Amino acid sequence: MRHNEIRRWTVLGMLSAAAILCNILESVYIGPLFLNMRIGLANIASLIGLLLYGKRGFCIVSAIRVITSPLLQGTLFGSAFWISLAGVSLSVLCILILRTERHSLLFLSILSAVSHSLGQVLAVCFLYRQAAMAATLPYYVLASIAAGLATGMIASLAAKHLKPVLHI
Amino acid sequence: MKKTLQKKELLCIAGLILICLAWILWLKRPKEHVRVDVIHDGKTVLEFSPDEDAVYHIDGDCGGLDVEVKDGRWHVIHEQCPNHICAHTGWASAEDMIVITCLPNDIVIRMGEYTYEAQ
Repeated sequence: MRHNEIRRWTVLGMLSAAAILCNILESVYIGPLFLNMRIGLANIASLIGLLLYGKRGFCIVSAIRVITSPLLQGTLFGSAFWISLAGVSLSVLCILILRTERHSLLFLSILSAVSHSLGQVLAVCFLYRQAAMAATLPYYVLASIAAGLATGMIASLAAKHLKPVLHI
Repeated sequence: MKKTLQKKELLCIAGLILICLAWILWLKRPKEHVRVDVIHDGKTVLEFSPDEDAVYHIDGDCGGLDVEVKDGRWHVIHEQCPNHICAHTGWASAEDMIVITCLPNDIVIRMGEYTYEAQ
């Protein structure tokens, strides 16, 4: 029992580290692709957490990533941090509300990406008192569907190879 | 957890895509007498018409930026901020209604008032 617990926290720690690395690499080397939209590579690690350890795994990886990544980049408590936190919070809330066992990973990944974008746009509208930012929402949602599909497929493939290695 | 997308999920995603496309079409409807507002720290610091080609400088929290207006479109140039997202956003116009934001400078460039063309 104790052995399993140690293994679970070790895997979640490694997934969080992978999420932070993806987030930093994406910020530094890839940058925004369309408008201010990023692919969301860090979400792959959160989705693997969901596949391996359920909702709890998703929440832990997302929470560690959203706090540690800006801490390492020196942007903690800046405007970008609050916007990112709003996106991750809505995404986590969405996954917590849904009965994940009834849905496919691809659908959950798309929903997570869409709710992440929605949270970020709402945060910008609120922080900068700019309701006009809502005009960008349809573009973000369409891009999120494509990004969610891609990250969901990668996460599914990665989890398939990780499960036998980690004996889960 | 299911492995592939189910019929209900596909319908849900298709519905979402249709709503977004309809929203974009509605945003892109013809407009005339467009005015663009530049907002810094919650206050409108500049208003311009996209019909007149010009370059405007706006002071911001990080050193400010320039807005170039050309052929009815506008974009950010010479921005002094760490992430350059505002410049990467590219050209905005009355048709696409893209809002350009520079968070480090606390500057938002968005469409102001306009009237619609008679159909």
